[in-house]
Amino acid sequence: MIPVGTNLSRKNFPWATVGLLLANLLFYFSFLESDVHTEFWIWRYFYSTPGDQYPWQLITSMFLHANFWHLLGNSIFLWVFGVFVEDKLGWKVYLYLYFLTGVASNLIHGAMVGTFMRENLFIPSLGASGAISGVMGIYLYRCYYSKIKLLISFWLPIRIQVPAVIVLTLWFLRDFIGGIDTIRGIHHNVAFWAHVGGFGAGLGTCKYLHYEVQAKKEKLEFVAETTLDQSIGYGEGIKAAETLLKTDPDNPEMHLKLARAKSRLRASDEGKAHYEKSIKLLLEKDPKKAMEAFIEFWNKYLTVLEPKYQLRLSRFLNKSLYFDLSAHTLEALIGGNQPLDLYMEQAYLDLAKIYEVQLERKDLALYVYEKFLEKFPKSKYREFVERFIQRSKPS
Amino acid sequence: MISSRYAHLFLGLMILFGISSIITHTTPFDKTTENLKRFCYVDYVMKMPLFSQNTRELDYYREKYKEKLDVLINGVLDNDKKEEVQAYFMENGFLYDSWQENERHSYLLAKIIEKGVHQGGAPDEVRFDYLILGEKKIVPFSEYLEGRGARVFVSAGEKAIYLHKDSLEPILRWYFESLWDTEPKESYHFHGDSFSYSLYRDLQGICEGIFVKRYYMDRRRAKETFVEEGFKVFLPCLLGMGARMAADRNNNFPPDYQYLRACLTGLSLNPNHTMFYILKRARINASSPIARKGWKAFSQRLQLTYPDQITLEQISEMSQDIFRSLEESR
Repeated sequence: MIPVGTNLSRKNFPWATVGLLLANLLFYFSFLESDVHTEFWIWRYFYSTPGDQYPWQLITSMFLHANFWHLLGNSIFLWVFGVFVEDKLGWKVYLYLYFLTGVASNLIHGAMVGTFMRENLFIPSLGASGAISGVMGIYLYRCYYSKIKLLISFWLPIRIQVPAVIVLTLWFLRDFIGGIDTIRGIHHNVAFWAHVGGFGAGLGTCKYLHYEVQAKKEKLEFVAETTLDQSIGYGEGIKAAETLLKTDPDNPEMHLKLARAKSRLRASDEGKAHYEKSIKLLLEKDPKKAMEAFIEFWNKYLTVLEPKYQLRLSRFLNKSLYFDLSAHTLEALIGGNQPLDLYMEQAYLDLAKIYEVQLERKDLALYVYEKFLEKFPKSKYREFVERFIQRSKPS
Repeated sequence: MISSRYAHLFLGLMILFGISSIITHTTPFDKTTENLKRFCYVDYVMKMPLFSQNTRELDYYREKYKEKLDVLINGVLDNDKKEEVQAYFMENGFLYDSWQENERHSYLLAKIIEKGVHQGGAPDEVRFDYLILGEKKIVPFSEYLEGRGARVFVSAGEKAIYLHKDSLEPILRWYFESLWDTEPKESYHFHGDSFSYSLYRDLQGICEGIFVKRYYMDRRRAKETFVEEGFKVFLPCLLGMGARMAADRNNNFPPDYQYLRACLTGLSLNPNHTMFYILKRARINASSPIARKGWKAFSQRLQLTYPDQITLEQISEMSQDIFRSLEESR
């Protein structure tokens, strides 16, 4: 069976993984037609030979492959697992751990050969599979909740999805048993202990870096993201989102998803509260998204936020050419029983301005200005408003 | 906090590097042996029919290994300085030998397990030095050609007769593995097939001690004892073969005929069921007519008797008969 993907989605383009794949390809094709002198040179100085090793060989051997099928197999695994690990860790940490586990895998392979199979100490090893096993170990630790898409075979193009824990545990066991076989003297053309070592190094590294905290959070996010939008069975998603918000109460995306889920069938206090929280948080991070969320909220609840937030939102709406909506929200704000503070003062002025300029309703603007003078008799804008009223009144 | 943990991981990697370097440490002797092995085997491959391009490539590799060896052992790798190379390996408990075999270089590098002198009244009054060799690092060209199935029990060096323990050890280990877990209780439990039964007949006392009475509880110790004690049972036959090799040293017989004579002498002086069975089943590539004739006679005459029932006396007599008839026909 061949892994062809996972059920996860990624947020960023995997530059580092693509870079590694290209580097492997480049090295392979550069040395493909090399003469015997170059071949010897590569073999002697760039493959990893545990019994007669130069330190740089621990890294150079990771970029060299014995044949096209060796390269293709490794590339498939690197693509399937590497892109998600890179997405979760970021390219710098990803590359650091790729090389760290790759070198560790070569060292563990050497140590096992040196302990149990000394007669093989001078047999060189090559390929990226140790580092890729490390990436797979990290994937298992970090994305244990995901499923792997497996192709039955190239000749039978049927895809099945199997939990990552099952696929990767079986894969590890296969390598471990292969490693035991090599200790027992059964010859295989595969450095199984490099795979086992890389995988173990990947898992151990994650444990040391406490990636389980992040992994649990990502699992909840994954469950919330994949189930909250579904029409049935979204209860699990609600639970996941609520759990997530306990540890991360300022997650605007999660509040928004939860708000949508809880407002799906009918308006609810919980749904309204999550919308409000989400919009307030988004206002700081992504005003455009906050505005979009507010439009959803308005259509469902026909109500506004506190003046401090609503004023900003209404201004964004106005800027985005939603003049009517901007005016309606300000009308709702003015019509509410809000304390008459500076925000409310601005709300009156903004509404009058929209009526006057964008909607060309001077009569309504006049009405709002008059109301403004009534509510804020000592405002510093009084003179400006009075002039407008004088100008606007028929002589 | 996290970034310091990444630094810790790097330190951990350095520690792993240190541990791995200690475990994988190889001595200059190991490196020399490895390079010599590659040097010799490239030479063997060069003897095979190859295209000229491949031959040039192999020449290049051979030259590279020679360069490396020259650095490692101060330029003594030269056929003219064979004694210096031998002395170098002898210091480390290994025998190095090289000789011409059908106009080809043939090499041998093996651990010296035991040195000794054997003196016997038969075949003639002969006294010779022998070396019991094991853990072969480089096998002679003929064995290399034959592959894993090749079993040469004795060969003649310039100064000593070589007894090859490597040819018997895998058989003994295999036999041990097949019996240890089955825990045989009666003699018929040892009768798996003709070959196993031959081994049982030769090693009856040892088999009963180790597999039936279970003198050793530890598998590894039991195995080592079995191999050591088992080899001692075969040693008289090997020494008999060696005696003939030593006696024939100056007779200028073809090597394959010399080997046949040695086998027949070993079996006639110190007959052995297993050795008989192995030689009977072996497809020995004899090139000289007399050796071909001898092996054919050996195979045919001994086929008349079922291997499970043949006695040591019969093996001895038949071997002597074949030997005598070959001598007469020469």
